Amino acid sequence: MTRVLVVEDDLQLVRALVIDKQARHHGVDAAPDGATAVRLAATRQPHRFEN
Amino acid sequence: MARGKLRIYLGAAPGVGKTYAMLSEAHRRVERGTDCVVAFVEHHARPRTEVMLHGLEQIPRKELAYRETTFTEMDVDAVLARRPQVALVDELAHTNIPGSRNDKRWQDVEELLEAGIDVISTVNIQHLESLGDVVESITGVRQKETLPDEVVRRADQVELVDMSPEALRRRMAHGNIYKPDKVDAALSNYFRPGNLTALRELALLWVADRVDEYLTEYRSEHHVSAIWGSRERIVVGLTGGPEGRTLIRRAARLAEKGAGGEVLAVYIARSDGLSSASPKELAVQRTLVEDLGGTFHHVVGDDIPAALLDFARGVNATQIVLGVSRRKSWQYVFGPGVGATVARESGPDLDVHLITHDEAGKGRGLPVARGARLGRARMIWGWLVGLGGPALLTLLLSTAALDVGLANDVLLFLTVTVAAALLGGLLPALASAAVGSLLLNWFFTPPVHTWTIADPKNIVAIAVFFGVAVSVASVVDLAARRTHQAARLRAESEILSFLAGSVLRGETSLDALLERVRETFAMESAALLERENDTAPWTCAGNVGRGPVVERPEDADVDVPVGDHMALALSGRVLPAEDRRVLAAFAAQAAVVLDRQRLQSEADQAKELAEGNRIRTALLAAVSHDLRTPLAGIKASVSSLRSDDVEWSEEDRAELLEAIEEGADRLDHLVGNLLDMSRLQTGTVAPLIREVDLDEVVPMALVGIPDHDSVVVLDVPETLPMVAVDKGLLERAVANVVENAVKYSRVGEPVAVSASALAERVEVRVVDRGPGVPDEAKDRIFEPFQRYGDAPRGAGVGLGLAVARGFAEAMGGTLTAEDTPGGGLTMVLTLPAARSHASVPAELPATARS
Repeated sequence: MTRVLVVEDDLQLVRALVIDKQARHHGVDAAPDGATAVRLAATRQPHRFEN
Repeated sequence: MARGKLRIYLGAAPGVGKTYAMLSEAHRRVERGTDCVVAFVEHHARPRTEVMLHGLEQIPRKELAYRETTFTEMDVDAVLARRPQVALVDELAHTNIPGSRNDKRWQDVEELLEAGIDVISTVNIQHLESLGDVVESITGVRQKETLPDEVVRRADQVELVDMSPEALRRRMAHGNIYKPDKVDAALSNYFRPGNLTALRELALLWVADRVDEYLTEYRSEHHVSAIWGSRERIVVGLTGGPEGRTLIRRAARLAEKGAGGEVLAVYIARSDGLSSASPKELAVQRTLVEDLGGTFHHVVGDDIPAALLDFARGVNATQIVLGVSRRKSWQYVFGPGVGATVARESGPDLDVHLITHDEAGKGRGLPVARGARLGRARMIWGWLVGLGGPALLTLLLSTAALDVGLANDVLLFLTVTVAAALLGGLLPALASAAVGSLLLNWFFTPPVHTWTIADPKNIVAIAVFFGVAVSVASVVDLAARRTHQAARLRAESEILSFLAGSVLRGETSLDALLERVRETFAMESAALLERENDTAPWTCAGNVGRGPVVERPEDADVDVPVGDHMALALSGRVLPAEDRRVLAAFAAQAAVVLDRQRLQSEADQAKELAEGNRIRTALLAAVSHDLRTPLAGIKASVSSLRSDDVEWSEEDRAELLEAIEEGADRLDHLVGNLLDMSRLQTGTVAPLIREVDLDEVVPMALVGIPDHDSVVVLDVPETLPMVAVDKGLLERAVANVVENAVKYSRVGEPVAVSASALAERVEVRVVDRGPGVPDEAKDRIFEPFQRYGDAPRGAGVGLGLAVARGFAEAMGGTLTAEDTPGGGLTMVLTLPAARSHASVPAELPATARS
């Protein structure tokens, strides 16, 4: 399964993206800012980044 | 039974600490062994006051029911029965609930005093009956609960509890006086700094027993519309001597008394005479006057008293300040001093103050005759002495049979000639010399009574006498002329240095410069004319003074050209040619100032364009980010829904559709704000004013806010008067303000929206308990594209508050930011009440009575 990290601060956009990714059976993590993104990237090691 | 003593703590406003002071005193008295009880003290939930009640015996209050509510009042019987030495009774002006024994609490206190109990009480200055009018005009509120003045005057001691307005406002801001939900329009108005200062002054004056004075002054200020009568205008006459500084300071102190006044210092330079001013001293005095808030004027005139009075009348002065003359007493032989003359000629409308100073009576060198070009009086004296002197001398010497010898005779005649030279100049002295030598020959040279001279030595004597007399006469005459020249040049250089100084000081207004020229030379009008080329007509670039503007420089009394295309034209009288040098300097300066003015306006225009640019750039930045984000959201959702490779569950579909709608709403909202902003900036907002009920509009405005039921608490009473506003603009303004408040308030602390009325305005207050905004930023937050501090994530181009304020002002209202007591920001939207309904009777709410 592909893991995707979504880096976006706008809540609605995040929601739309998360729903989309989940429907395609990807694992999704969402980060609202750069610091969290770096942290999640290190721990969860996604395959793709979308922002 | 001896009557008890009444001690009152008087304060200017609620919250200064009267009750606290009263309770402190009670504690001290109890420590000293006095029997002290609390008959009635209201702490208004102020914690520090409440704490003070512990440790004091409290007499239980009486409960009374009135209109289905239970109130408590002081139980007078219980206090009388208890019979303490001292009773504490708060709020002397309080009106008792109907059903109590007495109407007013002060009557209850009277009973206690009659029974021999000492009473300590508290009163606010606004409760005094006689001050009702004054207090109403200060605060805008008519005090209903009043106390007859004698009740307080009869008190044995009135102690003023004073607190500076700033300290009081800080207490208010910290929530130490009233809780935020109690603060409404009337209270906020009451606690304005201007109000508090005025009330404090009133309290201080009352305690000092000077209210009558204050009231008279206040009433006369209130009814006199023209500024002239009540304000003093003080003219200080300066001679340029060091005593000028004393005079200036004295005049400034005079100006501060009463309703305040203006100080105009005038230095009168002779156009053709000796002057004793040093330019440096004048410069110092000029700076002193300007530092004290006055103005310095430089006038040229020959007759000092006349010039001074002319100036004073011209500026409608009410007082003139002069220094006592520096002449020694013997110098008065030459005439009364300037002070005496001015005082004599001033008339009934001008008061003349002669101020003593250290320099008085120390003399100032040679007495200055009027015009060093010898005046008429001197000429007449000169001739008299020149012709009559020798005659008298002859008479004296021959009849008195004094034989002093020819040598001495000659010397005596020489003395007369010298005197004639000193007084009258060359011609009387020459005449005197001629007459003297003839008389000497006839009467005193042997053989006497003949024209022949026997002894050749005597011929020499008379010849020498004649020679010396002529020389002395010439020298005196030359000296007089040189002195005149020097004085003239000195006066000129004074004016020029003064002009240069004004340039450096930056008096850049052309009109001010023209006014200076006009004033200095006492002309009626001054104008700067220019034309584009040799054949074009003249136009006026600046004009001051009375009288019509001259068409061409040639038509004016004095015309000073500057280059080919500009000229300074003065009208009023013809000036001597000697003044043209100075005028040329003024004219050149005027040309420079005009240039500078034009450059300045160009610079201002450029700045405006730059500002417009800045807004456009900010707009572009805003549009590019904040509009694209909802678009991105919509696009993402739509793309997802349309993609064929995924099966969407009902929930997901619904969520994505919701996201699309929300995104579209946000776009709509943002674009709406942008459009509104541009309409406001181009001035095309045309409000449709109708009478509207606030309790209908405000809930509508909140509809667009998510979860508004839980994050916003509404308190808009139905009894409010209707407001005259545009419904749509109001909804928008309220919605923007509330949104902003919700954005910054913390979870669990809802935003409170309340409304109240005061006189002809209705206030809507949106109170949040968030981080608040410091005073310096309070105006900045209303600027477009401004996001104060770290904006929370989400919507907002930074236009909401700017639009809200723009709309509020377009409807004739205001939108301001205040601090919430205890922390946070309160937005106050003031709207005009509809005229057809009677305005709410402005009365201070119950909470403000203490």
